[in-house]
Formats: sequence, C-alpha cells, structure tokens
Amino acid sequence: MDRTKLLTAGVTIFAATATVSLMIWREARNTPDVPRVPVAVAAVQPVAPVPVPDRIALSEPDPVPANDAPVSLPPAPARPVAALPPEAVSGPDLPETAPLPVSAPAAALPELPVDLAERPGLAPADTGLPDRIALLGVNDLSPDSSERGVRRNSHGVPCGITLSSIAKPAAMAKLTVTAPCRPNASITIRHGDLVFSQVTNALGSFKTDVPALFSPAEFSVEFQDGARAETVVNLDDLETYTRVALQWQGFAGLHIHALEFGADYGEPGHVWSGAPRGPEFAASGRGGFVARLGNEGGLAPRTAEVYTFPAGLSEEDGVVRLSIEAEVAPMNCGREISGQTIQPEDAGAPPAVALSLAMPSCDAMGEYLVLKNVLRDLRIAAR
Amino acid sequence: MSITRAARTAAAIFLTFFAGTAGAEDVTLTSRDGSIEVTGTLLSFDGEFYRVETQFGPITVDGSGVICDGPGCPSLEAYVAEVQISGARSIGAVLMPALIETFAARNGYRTERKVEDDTHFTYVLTDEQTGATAARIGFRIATTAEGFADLLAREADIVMALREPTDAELARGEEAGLGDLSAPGRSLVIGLDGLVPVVSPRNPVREITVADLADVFSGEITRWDALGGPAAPIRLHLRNQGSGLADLFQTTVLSPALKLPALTVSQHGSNEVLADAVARDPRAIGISSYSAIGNAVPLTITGGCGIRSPATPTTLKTEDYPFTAPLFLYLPPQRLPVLVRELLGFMRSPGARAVIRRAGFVDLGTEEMPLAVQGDRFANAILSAGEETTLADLKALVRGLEGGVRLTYTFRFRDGTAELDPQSLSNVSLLASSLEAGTYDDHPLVFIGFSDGNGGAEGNLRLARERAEAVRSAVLEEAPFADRTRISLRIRAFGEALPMACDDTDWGGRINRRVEVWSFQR
Repeated sequence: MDRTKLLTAGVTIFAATATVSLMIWREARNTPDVPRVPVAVAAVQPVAPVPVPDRIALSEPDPVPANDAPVSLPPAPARPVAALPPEAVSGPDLPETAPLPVSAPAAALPELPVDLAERPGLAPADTGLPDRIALLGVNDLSPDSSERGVRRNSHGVPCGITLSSIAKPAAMAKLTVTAPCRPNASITIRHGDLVFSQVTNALGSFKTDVPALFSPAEFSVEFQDGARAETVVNLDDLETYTRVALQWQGFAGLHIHALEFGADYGEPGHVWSGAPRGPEFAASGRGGFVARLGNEGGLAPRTAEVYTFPAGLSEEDGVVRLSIEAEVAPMNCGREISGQTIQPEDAGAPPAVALSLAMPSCDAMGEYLVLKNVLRDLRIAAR
Repeated sequence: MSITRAARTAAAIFLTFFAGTAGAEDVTLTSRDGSIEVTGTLLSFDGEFYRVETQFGPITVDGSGVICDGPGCPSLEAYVAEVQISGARSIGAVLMPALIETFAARNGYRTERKVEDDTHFTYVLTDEQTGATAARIGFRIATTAEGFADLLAREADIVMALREPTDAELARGEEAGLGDLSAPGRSLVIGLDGLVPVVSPRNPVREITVADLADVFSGEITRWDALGGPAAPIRLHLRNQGSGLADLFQTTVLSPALKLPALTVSQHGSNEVLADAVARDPRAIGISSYSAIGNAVPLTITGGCGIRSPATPTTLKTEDYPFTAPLFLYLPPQRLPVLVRELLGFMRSPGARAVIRRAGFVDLGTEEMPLAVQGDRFANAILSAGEETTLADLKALVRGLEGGVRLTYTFRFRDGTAELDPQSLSNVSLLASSLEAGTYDDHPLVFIGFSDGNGGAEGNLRLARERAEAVRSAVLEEAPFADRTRISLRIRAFGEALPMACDDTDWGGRINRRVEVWSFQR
C-alpha cells in the first residue's frame, strides 16, 4: 500500500519535473536565450509521451501547442537584434503571448552572455541608449547600475526589473512585471498580507490582474535572489467592493465557494474558480467573482483566491455563503496546510489570520473537505 | 491489544500518583519584602494566582506579590492560558472567532486558527513582542445541549448557550461538583438574538400570530390559505433536536399552547441551512433566528388585538419583541486564566459592539428612543383605553414622559414571579456599570413601572411601582462606585396605561409587565 503510494508519488514528481523542464525548454526555443538546453534535452526523451497535466510556466496561452514536437519550430522572419526597439520589451503592455520576432535554430545562436544579472562584472559597455527603466524610478537589479554601467540582456535590453500597475474596473490592479534578464523565473507578488507566487515567461515578463484589498494599493514583486520592484496605484472604486481572500502554501487544491443569495451548488449564483465570472460582472453590479492568483505548480508555490462582491452596487438584500472546499488528493491528504484568511473588518486594511488546516487522511481520497465556518458569510444590504 | 492498553493506563495512573506525592512541598512563595512565606504543593497557577495546598489547607496567593521558589514553580513566561469552549453553533461558528480575532489584534497578539474540521478548531494566541504562546482556545461547535453535556463531562470550561440550563442540567451540574450554574456570576450575556419565523421572499405572507404559529408547527394548520396566503400546503422547517433555538421554540411557543412539533417537520443542522432551504421554497415556513434570517424574510409577530412586533435591534434590546434569545456564556466554578477573563471582559465592552453587529447579532449598547419614534405605542394606548384607563390617565402619561427619551434598558420578570429574567439581569449590570462610569451624571433617570391589564387598575398601579422600586434597588446595589451626589434615579408608575401587547395571551402579559428606564435633561 505505502510502497505503491511512494511509487506513484515518485513517478508524479518525476513526470512533473520533466514536464517543467520540457516547457522551459520549449519556451527557451522561442528566444535566442537558451539557458537550460542541456538539462532539458536530457529530460525530453523519456517524457515525450506523457500528457502535459497542467500549465506550469505561463499564465497565458503558450504560442507553442503543448503536444507539438519541440524541434519543429516554425521559421520566423529574421530580424537583426539591434533593430529591436527597447520599448517593445520594457513597455508595460508587452503582449507576452507573442514570440519575439527573433527566432533562429538553437545551434545558430550567437554566444551572447545570457543572464547577465547572475554574473556581476560582465556588464557590457554602455550603448548610449537612455535607460528608460531607471527613469521610471523603479528598482534596478544591479547594485552598480548607472547611466554608464547598465546591464543588458542579449537583445541589449536593460536588465532592470520593473513593476507597473494600472487601475481597472472592479478595483482590480493590472500588474506587469518585466525583467528581461530573468526569463522563467519564480516571482512572489505581495499586496499587504496578500501573497502569491508565479513564474515569468520566456521574455522575463508576467502580467496579471489582482483584486486590491486597500487603496492606495502597494504591490511588490520579488525574485528568489531578493531583487525586487514596487508600484502603487489608486483604486477609486475600492469601497464598492467587499473582498475575502484565502491563501496557502504548497499544494492544497483549496477553493473558495460562494453561494450568492440562496443559490444552490451548480446554479448561476454558485461562484468558484470552476465558474469564476469576472470583474466586468461585478462592476455591473450583477454579482461577485473569484480570482485565483498564483499557481500550485512550482516547487514552493503560494496560491491565493479572492472572492469579490459588489456590495455597494447590490440591489438585493441577503447573504452570500462562503465556504472553503478541497478534494482530498494524493498531494494533500493527511497533510497540514498552512495559509491565511483575510476577511473584511470595520476599519482600515483587513488583518490576515493565520490558518492551519488538517487535511483528511489519505483514506478519504476523492472525498471533499468542506469548511463552512472558516470564512464568514457576507451580509449584503441593498444600496 | 487490550492488555497493552490496560498496562498503559496503569502506568499513567501510577505516574500521576507518583507526581502527586513527589511534588509535596514543591513550592515556596515568599513575599517581595521577605516577611511572609508559604510552603506547600502547587495545585494550580492561572497566570496570575497561585493556588497552594498547605498544612492549613488550600491558599490562593496573588502571583504579583510573591517570588516562587522550588521545583514546582511554573515558568511565568511559559504560562499558556488554556480553555475549551463548547456549545451552540450560532455563537461559536462566527461570533466567537470574530471576537477573539479582534481582541487579539487590539491586545498585541498574533492569531492562528488551527482547523481540525468544521466543528473543531483552536485559536492559538502568540505574544507579538516575545513570540511566546499566550493562549490556546479550543472550540467544539455543536448545540446548546451538547455544550452543557461537555461542561458536565469536564470536556469544556465554557458553554455557549442560547437558553438557560434546564432543571435536569442544573441538578447534574450540582452532582458533578460544578456548583449552581444559575448563580449570579456563572453566566454572561455577550449579545442578543431572537427567535424569528421566516418564509421565502416569494411567499406573500408577512405576519403571523403566536397562536397560529403554534398551530402551524403542531400540524393543525396545514395550508397557507388559512393564513391569508396562496392555496398551497405549508412545509415546516425547524432546527435539529438539542439546538437552543429548537428548545426555545418548544418552551416559548409550543409548550404554552400544550403542543408538540408535527412529525412532518424537516430538521436542519444549522440556522443558515434552514434559512436557505426556506428561502428557496415559497411554501416553506421555518423557525430561524434574527442573526440568521439570511436570504429568507422574517414574519412579524402580531397579537390578536392588532399590536405588531417586528424583530429589530431595538425591540430585541428592550425585549418588546416576545422571543428574544440572549447569547449566554456559562462559566466554570474555578477561576479562569487572566487572558480568558480579559477576553470575556472585552466581549461585553463597547469595543466589541461593532464586531457583534457585523456578525449579525444585536449588541449590548444602549439606544435612546425619543417620544417621536414611539407613535405606535401611543396609538395602542389610545386604542386600549377604556373604563379603567381614562383620558386623564393618558394625559398624565404623556405629560410624564414629555421631554424624556426611553433607554433600551428594560426589565422584565419570569412568568408569575418577581424574579428578573436573564436578559434583565444582564441589563442590571450594564446599567450599573454605566452609572459608575458617570454616563448618567446630571441626567436624571426615571424607572417607570407598567403592568398588564389583568385585575384592577389600582392594584396594577401598585404592583408596577413596587417592581420599579425593586429594579432601582437592584441597580444601585450593583453600582457601589456610582457618584451618589450626581446621579438621580426616580420612580414612577403608569400601571396598565401603555400596553406593548395584548393581555389575552401569556406572552402578551409578560411583555406588558415591565419596568422601563427613561432619561431626562435636568
């Protein structure tokens, strides 16, 4: 019994590692930077037939279909690296789904220093381009960065990290992380007590919409080596929305379930990450939505879910029932999950309360853990 | 297997015994100036007081005044307040956690909630500065009845209850060495709730008499047409047996009518599930609580004589609503750890009121009701006036109340006795604290006695005055530190002149026999 479990766990971990490597490798093939090719190649062969279970490296669709053979990259129009305008990479609206218009067979790649950030002292000479990132006043990674000694990636884009934010409807903050020298890197994003982890894409960027818990809303992004950047955005419509957050470390598979105004499971008023709705729905006053932040795929993942209800727009009196649910699975059974809840309070930023959750034993595999008493129901009064 | 267990039990008993004897004379408490010394076996330490078994018997010593020496001395820093709380789901699921989290945040403790499952969890409070664990507060969410059972079995220290203990529970408490649970000081009221009949928002019926409510739930009225609703059968929903709310419904609505619930009743494990089930079914009626009306709508209780009693924070505070349900905490006979006593103190303090309201309950704060918002009451008074209550009486009443505001402190009595009911006892101590805090310095308070209309008007007036006097002395007795030169507590009585409900029912008479408190500008 136990040996079978161990074996299953081993195979799962191996498959996951191999899949991550495979995806990193595929990502890498889209850009001239090929930081981990040797490792990835070794992993590709035995894993190729394993179906990819989850999207791990990216938050948005990958330009390469997951089941494609990694070697059959479509030829792309060649374009000299130097001609790439730096704005296209460092600007806040970079579409990360589009591969860089620079693509060449891996073997033909020039021997460029790949991640200069990790090799201090290899800073290339100043090319005279204005350091747009430094002018934004955002943290630069390199300790000795200056007009004369800015590190750049293989495209000549400065290595500095930027984090920008834009207010969006339903008190959401659109965050854009750009870190041109840190592709496929783990990042931790913080907003007060709210924390989640993600991974930058092959270009070192990452975008997401985060529900703000307070305004002015400060956000920070931090890389594993401690490099970080910050941003602040005002959300004028924050008061309209009531938010409840649940976050945890490691694989727990937790979900917030909201039953709005007496809805039953599976009905339109049942909102969870399997039927999440979106900010537009809330902004129109019709009901709440769930945002899932971070992903549970990495090595030490931190995941959060935030349920938002437009209390200030509601035309109904009633209660939104909130529960925490999780399927008992091999990855979480018998474990103690540590996390936090952030629930609305009367004044100021809501305080986070630490939570430790004893998952049911592995005998209960496939059953559902349902906690109705941890999150307080929201009492909504019609405006 | 059983042999091993028996051996282990024997070993445990031996160890306990051994620890007991080896610990003899294990502490010496010396006063800070060295003048007094107490030696003995440490019985307990609650973070503040040592309890020591000495040759003269058990002695309790204030820890702040002594230095403890010996192997039995507890580490002051390592002391962890531990308490186990058990009982009513409606108090334990939402309100208590919210109160603990707020108390912790305001007193420099970090909070962790360790969840075992949905009905068992523990709050661990950690000192923010030292990082030391300060308290472990365990919860078992069940029913009022199970809470009392846990207290009797010594598996709980504090019971969350929606009703007072039954005579049987009181008797078993005495037997179990828990003393008299009904004694003053053994219970606290931390907030208010009320028993409320609910229906679906799609059901047109919005009010019901108490008599009809009893007939509906006993199965004698089975169709909505009989209540002025649509031609449809009635579906009944109640809480599960043992829940405080179900017990309260039985004792306040069904038992006085000598009835039992129909067998067709659907039972639910929580008020929330009940309210949602009712909200979804236009043919349903359920007994929920004010705090858990949820997505259903409440029915207003009406008297046969046309007096209406909706459940509102004000009518629950004044007990003008007939079915209030104070939120009780029943305490053990032994002294609780300091941190727990501070937590209980916080729960009754003004700082907890917003938390209590947010959790959907009615807080203990006082409200003022000027004459202008009491129009209904005066309309009732005029309608009920007759041979015994004359126009002159009504004029005297209005003149007497002019310029005053009614406070929500109201005092009512157990049926057929001169004994105050639990919510009124709680009001005595709340008003006494306000007097001691100087809230009513230079603002004369008038205790006004009212009676039901049964019997002669003159006798009722005398009774009403006696009750008002009794309440005033009870309040003064609890307020020894009030500044007697600045407070003024006067007595008046208006007898049966201002009825709140119809006298033709037991509950109506109970509502009418009352002492109100009015505040006047000097």
